[in-house]
Amino acid sequence: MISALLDRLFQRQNVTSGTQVKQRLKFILAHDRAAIEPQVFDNMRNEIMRVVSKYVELDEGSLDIRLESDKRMTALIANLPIRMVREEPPDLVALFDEPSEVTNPEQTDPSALEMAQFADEALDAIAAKESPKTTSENSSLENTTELTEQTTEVSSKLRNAANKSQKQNLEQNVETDKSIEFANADVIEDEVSSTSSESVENSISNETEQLEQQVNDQLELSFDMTDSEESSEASNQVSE
Amino acid sequence: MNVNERNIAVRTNPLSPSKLQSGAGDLSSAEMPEVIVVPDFQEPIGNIPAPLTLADVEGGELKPIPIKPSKQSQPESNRDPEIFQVRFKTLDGKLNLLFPNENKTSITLDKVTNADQAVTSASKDGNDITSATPFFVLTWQELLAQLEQRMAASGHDWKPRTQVYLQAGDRLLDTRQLQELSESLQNHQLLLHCVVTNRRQTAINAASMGFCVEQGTIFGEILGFNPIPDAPLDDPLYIKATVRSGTEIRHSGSIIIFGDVNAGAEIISEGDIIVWGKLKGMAHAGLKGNAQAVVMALHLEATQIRIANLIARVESPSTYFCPEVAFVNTQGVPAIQIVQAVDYSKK
Amino acid sequence: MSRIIVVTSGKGGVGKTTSSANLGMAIAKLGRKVVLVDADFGLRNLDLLLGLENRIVYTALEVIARECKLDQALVKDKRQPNLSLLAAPQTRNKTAITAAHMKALVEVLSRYFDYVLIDCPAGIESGFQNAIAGAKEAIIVTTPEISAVRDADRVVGLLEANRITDIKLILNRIRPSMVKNNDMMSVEDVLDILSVKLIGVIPDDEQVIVSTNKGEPLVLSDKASLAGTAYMNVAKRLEGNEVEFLQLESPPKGIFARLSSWISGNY
Repeated sequence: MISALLDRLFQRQNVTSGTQVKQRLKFILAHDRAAIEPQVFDNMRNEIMRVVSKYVELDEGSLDIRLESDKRMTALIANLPIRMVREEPPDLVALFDEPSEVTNPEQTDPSALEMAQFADEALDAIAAKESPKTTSENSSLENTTELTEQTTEVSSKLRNAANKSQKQNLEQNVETDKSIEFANADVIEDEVSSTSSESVENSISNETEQLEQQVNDQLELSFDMTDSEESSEASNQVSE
Repeated sequence: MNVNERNIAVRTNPLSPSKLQSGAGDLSSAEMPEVIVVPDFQEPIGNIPAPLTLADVEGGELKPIPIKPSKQSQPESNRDPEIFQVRFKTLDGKLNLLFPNENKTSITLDKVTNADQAVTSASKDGNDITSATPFFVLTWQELLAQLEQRMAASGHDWKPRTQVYLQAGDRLLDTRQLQELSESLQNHQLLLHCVVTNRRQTAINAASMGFCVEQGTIFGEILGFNPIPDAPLDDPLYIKATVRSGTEIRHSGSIIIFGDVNAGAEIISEGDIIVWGKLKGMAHAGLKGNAQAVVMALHLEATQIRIANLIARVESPSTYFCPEVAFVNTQGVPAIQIVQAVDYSKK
Repeated sequence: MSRIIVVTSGKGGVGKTTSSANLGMAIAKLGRKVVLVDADFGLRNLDLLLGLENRIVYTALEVIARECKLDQALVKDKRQPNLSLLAAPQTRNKTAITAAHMKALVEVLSRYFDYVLIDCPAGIESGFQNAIAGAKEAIIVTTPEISAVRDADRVVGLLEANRITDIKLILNRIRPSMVKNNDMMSVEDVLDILSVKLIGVIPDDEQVIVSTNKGEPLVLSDKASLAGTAYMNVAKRLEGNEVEFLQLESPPKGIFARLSSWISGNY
């Protein structure tokens, strides 16, 4: 009660929440106004984290990367608490590789995968019901995306690099990749059997071409907005 | 056959136009033929619109209530007997003042001095008149005169301040006319209480003068007050739930609700409405003109109660829980009355 | 057996999102796995109340559009790991989602969570229809005001028409002093009209605004509040425990009592 009294006397409590809300509102509006797509922003955030963590070990739990907008401009503000500086100089070549050596502390929840799988199935069921209404273009695109899974392993790795899960930690677990692929392959097999043969044939040839192109693009530094868009697109498609 | 065309049973009318215009004395109803409007069977008997309220009149559309064929009507539907005279008719305790039907042609408003002229003009307008005899049209002055004579020569003795129901049919009456009518009636200690009309403008005028307005054609209305003996109602609808706001329950039979009826709900029945609970919504019983229908509830605090074509508000819902019945009191002025259930059963 | 509950009201601004957030947090605190689904597509608010707005990357729309996986769209609350959020998109393209989609999503989620709480948008249009699709129970939130109660009644009717019969009521923002003066409908008055089972009475509490500012649901705060306790009680009642309703009497007017109530911040 004494502390409460002190709080009130010094108006500490109310000021805290009041200023907090103003800060939060500023950030969220900056996000909304900057109109960066959440995926893109997430990619950017993860890239930054990855690069910085080459040089210093970051306290991943308290990372804070956000947009802040003033009257005239928007700024990206990053607050990255450092645990300690790394001994070895970073492997510059490795910078451009997909970092498979950075392990994620948490395993991807197998139940999460299962859930995603079920969701996919359910949504597919709905899509199947709606498919007579959708244009042939859309359906072929869907078939296309589903089929690319079977073509390359590399693409799935790329996808993982570009699309991070919600946990905000770098999850580069190779095993995870494999299991996701496996799960997806199962799902896709079912889907393939249900799709029409004609569109399947057409799309296989189209997609392999597209994918090869995208694989090449991926190897470049993905700070270029357009590239990252493409890569995320490819990854999105692949992740089906 | 459409209402505009009327085969006038003029042959049965012993009076000649000239006699009528002179306002001769033999206008007593005893000599007049019993004229009854024969309902037009082609008219759709469908959606009976809600009874006319002030709100309808002021902005809404007046829809004619289709007339239900009745046993008392004449067998030949082709002949549409006309009312040529101003008539008083007491029915069910109501004193009705019947006005002649207004002709749809433009000449109705003109003074007709010559019957022949009338015929010529009428046929120009394309009315299908098969009768050779000219039909005549009462001007307003003539009508008033008739009324005066009726009242003076009348063999009825009305109680002073008896209320009069003017059955205007589709006659257009403006405020001046209504005022004259009212004064004329008052001279004989009659009160113009209600104007029953099919015409929107008449309704508006009457309402703006403070008269109650009802919608209906002349005889159909009067006849409709007696329950149609052989029209079977559906089996009662039994609802065992609370009727929520926004729900409308419509049934062509009686409705029994075991639960409450919340404000914003509507119960519409051709028969009775019985609510074993609180009635807070709107209840409309006796939809197709059955004025003997009742609305009963364990706690009557409805937003509106309608029986047949009468409307009532529950002015002051009883504060304690007591079952009440709303019914049409046909003695004197027909109106919806609410009594406690114990009292109702004693009646 | 998991429970799919939609939190709805009809009228806007009565406290659906606040109640969803606090209730979700309270149930999570009791040890159950809860997922909060924001069904207000286009005007999402649930993430703001939970303080998770910075962590939204994927929303329900991306899941439905197959742009991401369902687990990627779920935001786990770091303060309370039992609680997850499926955010709504900010897009105005409401036609993207149908009731079937929502039903499918909610069903899948129900296999992995003990409670699926759906925060319904205001109104009774397509947003509402989508939100109630797949729900098995409903919690109606209303304030003791005539329009809110009337709308709540309407919604109860609509829910029953959609075969959701397990309906409970939270009466929100009640002011005991006004009820005492007969200036506000009492709990009994509202129950009289609505006739649904009462599951919670939440007093009008300034702390709710403070918690919204901070993005921290009341039950997470170490400072106890009336509203927070009330929400906790609702959670316990949902779990099947009989909890007595809080005695919400207006504070006594003695000088010492006034002083202490001033000190503790509640008037």
